[in-house]
Amino acid sequence: MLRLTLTQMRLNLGRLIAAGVAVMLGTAFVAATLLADDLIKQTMDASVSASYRGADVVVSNADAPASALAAVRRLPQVAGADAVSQVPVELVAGGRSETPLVGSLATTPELRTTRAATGRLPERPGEILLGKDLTDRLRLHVGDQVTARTLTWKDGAAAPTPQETRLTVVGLLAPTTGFALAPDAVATPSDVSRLLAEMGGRDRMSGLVVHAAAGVDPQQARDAVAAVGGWGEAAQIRTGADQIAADTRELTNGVDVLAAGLLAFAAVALFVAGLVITNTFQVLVAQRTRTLALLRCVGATRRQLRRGVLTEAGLLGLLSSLAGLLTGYALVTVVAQVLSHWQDVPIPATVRPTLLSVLLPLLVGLAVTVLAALSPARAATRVSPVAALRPAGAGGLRSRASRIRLGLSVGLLAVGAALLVVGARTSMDSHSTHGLPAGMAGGVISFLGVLIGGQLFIPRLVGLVGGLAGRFGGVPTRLAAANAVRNPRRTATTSAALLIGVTLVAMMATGAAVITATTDRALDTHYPVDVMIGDLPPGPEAEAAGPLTPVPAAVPAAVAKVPGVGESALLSAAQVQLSLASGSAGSGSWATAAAVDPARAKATLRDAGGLDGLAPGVVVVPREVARDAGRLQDGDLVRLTAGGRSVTLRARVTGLKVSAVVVVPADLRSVVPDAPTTMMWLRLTGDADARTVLDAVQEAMVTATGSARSVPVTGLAAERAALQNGINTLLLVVTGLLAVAVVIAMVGVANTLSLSVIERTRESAMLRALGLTRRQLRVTLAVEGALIAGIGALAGVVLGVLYGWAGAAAVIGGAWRPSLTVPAGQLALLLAGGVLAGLLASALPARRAARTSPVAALAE
Amino acid sequence: MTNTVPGRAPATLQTSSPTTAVRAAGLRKVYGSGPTAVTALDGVDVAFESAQLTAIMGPSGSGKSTLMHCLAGLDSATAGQVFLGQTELTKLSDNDLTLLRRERIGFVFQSFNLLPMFTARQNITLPLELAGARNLSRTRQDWLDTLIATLGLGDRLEHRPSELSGGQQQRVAIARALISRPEVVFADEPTGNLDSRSGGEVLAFLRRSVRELGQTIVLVTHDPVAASYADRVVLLADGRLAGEIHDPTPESVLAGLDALRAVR
Repeated sequence: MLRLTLTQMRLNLGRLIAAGVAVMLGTAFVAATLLADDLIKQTMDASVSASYRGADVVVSNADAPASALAAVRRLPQVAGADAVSQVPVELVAGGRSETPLVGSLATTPELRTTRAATGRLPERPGEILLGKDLTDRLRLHVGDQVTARTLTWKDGAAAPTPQETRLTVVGLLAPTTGFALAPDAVATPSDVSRLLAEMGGRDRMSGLVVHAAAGVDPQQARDAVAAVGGWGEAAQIRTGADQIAADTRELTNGVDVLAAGLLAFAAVALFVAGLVITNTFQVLVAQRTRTLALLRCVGATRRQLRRGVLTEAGLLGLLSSLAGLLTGYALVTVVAQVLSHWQDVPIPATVRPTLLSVLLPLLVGLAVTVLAALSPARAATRVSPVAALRPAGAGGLRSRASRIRLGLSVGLLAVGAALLVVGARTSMDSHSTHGLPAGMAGGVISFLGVLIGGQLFIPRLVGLVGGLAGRFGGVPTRLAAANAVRNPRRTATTSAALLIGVTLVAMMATGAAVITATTDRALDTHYPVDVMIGDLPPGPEAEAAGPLTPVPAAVPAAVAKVPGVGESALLSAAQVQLSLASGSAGSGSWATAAAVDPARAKATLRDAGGLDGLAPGVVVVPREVARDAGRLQDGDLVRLTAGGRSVTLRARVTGLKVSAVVVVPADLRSVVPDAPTTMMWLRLTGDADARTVLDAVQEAMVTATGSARSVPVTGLAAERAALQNGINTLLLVVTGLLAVAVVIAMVGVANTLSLSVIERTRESAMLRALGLTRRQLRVTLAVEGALIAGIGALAGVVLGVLYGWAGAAAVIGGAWRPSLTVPAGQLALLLAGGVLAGLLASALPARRAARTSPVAALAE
Repeated sequence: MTNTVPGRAPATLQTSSPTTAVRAAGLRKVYGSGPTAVTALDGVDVAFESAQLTAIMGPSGSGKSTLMHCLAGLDSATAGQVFLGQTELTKLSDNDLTLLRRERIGFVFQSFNLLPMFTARQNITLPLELAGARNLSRTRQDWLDTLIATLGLGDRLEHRPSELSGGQQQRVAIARALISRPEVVFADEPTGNLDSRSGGEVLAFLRRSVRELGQTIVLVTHDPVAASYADRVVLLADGRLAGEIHDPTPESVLAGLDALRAVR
């Protein structure tokens, strides 16, 4: 029996290889995920270990006096100890400013984790080591000077006092760790603690690393450090090894979640591969009906036939899983090689696979293949011995659409759809994501309904579309339309394989589009201004702060010329006293009054809702200012007073997110005739890269004013872009992962088509004899492939949009009202991709069919 | 009834008369190469006259199917020439051959070879649609009606092949072969899959289409009864022409075949 199985496998090698590729891709996915997980964990372990180099004891989350360091250093078990401190410091050079984390260099040589890539380590106060990123941004070189700016709040002072320290760049920081939080710059401990003190940091420390004296057990050293006491309630005192283990555990939690997510995608890919396998074996069994019947005639038992098919599936599964494992390993190795050449990411160039990541892909691939072959194996046992005696011919494999199937499908669809709606509603009504579990369950259940019902509705859809196409196309199209529904079950399975992948991609695209559109609106409200030049108006106590810094006269014109800057608006501002018109003059609170032209503001702001109603005679009062001013209501008459002049305006209380009242320029001039321009709002053009424009704006200001920074530039556009980039990147990654499932489904389409070619060899030969040209024969198969794949893609796109909407509603419906948009361009691309996949899949089978000479086929 | 003694073919067949529909000259067909080469046709010179039913007969392996395939432009010749009317088939490309088959040649197969998913009518008009005809012209429609009436298919047109008997399927196939008014129809064992009554009907139809419609038909068979419906029988043995029988009867054909075996 085994010999027979092997012979049959050899005969159908091409077919089995095509099916095996599907399993291989799925297994490679699983293997690559597990191996990447191994790799990341090993990298993290190495990286965390590096960041605790030489540390035998680590104190974290401490709240201890700085004097504790000296106490630890005096311990006999301790060779050296250093405080771990990192402080964000503003560094200024040539008008540019960055605020990196500055860490202190360990004084104990064994505990030093930083190295200088060029130059040297800071040895005395006044020296600093900077990361490559920072020197690029600040355009600094080794040997240049940089200014550290801190603001000190003196007791009782209304405004902070700026302090400046000149530092010399002595070297470039060597990149060390890929994952642990590392400082961007390193200075001597005394500089770091002084900067910390200037910024109001109390004389305390939060962490400590200790190098034990020679011959002292880390555990003893830990106990000695713990015994010093006064570390604070939350403090954790661990040996170095324990700390590394704890940190790695914390970091890899996230990786495990990621791996679980990736494995979910791999499961989808394997499921699709399973469908392809089922299809292939169904046809192999159908093709071998005569052989199987003959075997039954000469005495083979049903059990032997079933075992034969399952053995074949097992061998196929094992071999393709092995190939998949190797592919996954190669893939991860190549990626690791590429990344390890990329100097910022210290990844080991080779993967050390764990037993699990080798065995699991093999077992899963094998199990999927054998399970998928179960139903075809059962079909093999149903072949009656008499079948061998009948003449060979197109046997009717037509399966009747069962009522049970229809009922089950409709039932699942109804339950799933109901759960989807419930999920979305729950989230939206409860302002939470509580509806998510119901929504997910609904999605899975209804999709199961779709897959089960696919055998009923997919052939009908194919028939319908094919019929329409046939009316306009020639004979090849009509032939293709008729051929595509000749074996409804096979067409349905093939289409379904593609449908799964396309549905998921369409769902992700739609979900992302809805979330982007919705959060865009939310972002507009939160970040109405792309770029702000000038200081934010200080709070109500600003009277003492003196005059506001005006925007230099040369700036607006220079900035407006920067590429990427679109609309802009200028704001003038002055301090005024705000009081109810009915109150006595001179009473009321101080406030900043800003003036802007309403039309310019509308053009520049992404969401000008807070300025609604701004007009001559009106003062827009932000809700918070209204509250601070006391009992100020919408519609009240309000008096603005400054320097003996005053104007009475009608208050309009809005949700504007600034701490200033807003009027039109003319109204402000009537109180403060010479109010300076203190702020400029910019709106970036749609295609501009926020970070680049922001740098260019700063550059333009430096050039225009001829000096270092005079007024601050705040770019919320960058945050906004970062958020959108995050969503887009995620979408891209997910789409890439699901593309694997689509590729596998394509293998399925090609498989089905080549089976059709084999089954219809005589028919094709007859058509060729009757005058069907080779080209027409190829077109026939191409149209059939495009029909099967196109319908799968079409159904997938429609389903994906619905799932995307429901999913987005369940995820974000609680926070915002979702905008139900459709990413039409992407979906059209997906649909075109599906049809193209069908066309491509038909290429090889069609070649083969067209090459067969009519005589040879007729002679069979 | 004239009987030619099996042996060399008579000289009259080597030149084409004005009424010749298909003609082969020095036709050779060799399969494979080297020591395993098999010569299926070994220098065949034969002509088939218009508006006649000619049968090609011979024992298994005599090369009769190969001859038909070469004459019909389904297979290429190793050497020699094949003419359909004035066209030399052996010079044409695959695409030109396909177009030629579509427009000038009809086929009837042993296993009917109808498309199972199309109705009888759709199967009959398939060659016209392959040639790009969207709607049937008046003359085509008349011709279709004539064929349907002649073949007695009037009430079976909207049925699919699986709902037709073997004889009916073969009649549909004949209608399909005749619909484009080809210069010649090749019928390869058209009665091989039929019982004798249906077979007799089919052969009668073929002969009527020659007599009444002026069709040229080349029939390949190994059944002496089928061959007796022909105007002339061409005998083939070992890839060579082995004689011919005019106005054959089953008996004369059998006798001819026996003579062939005797010579060998």
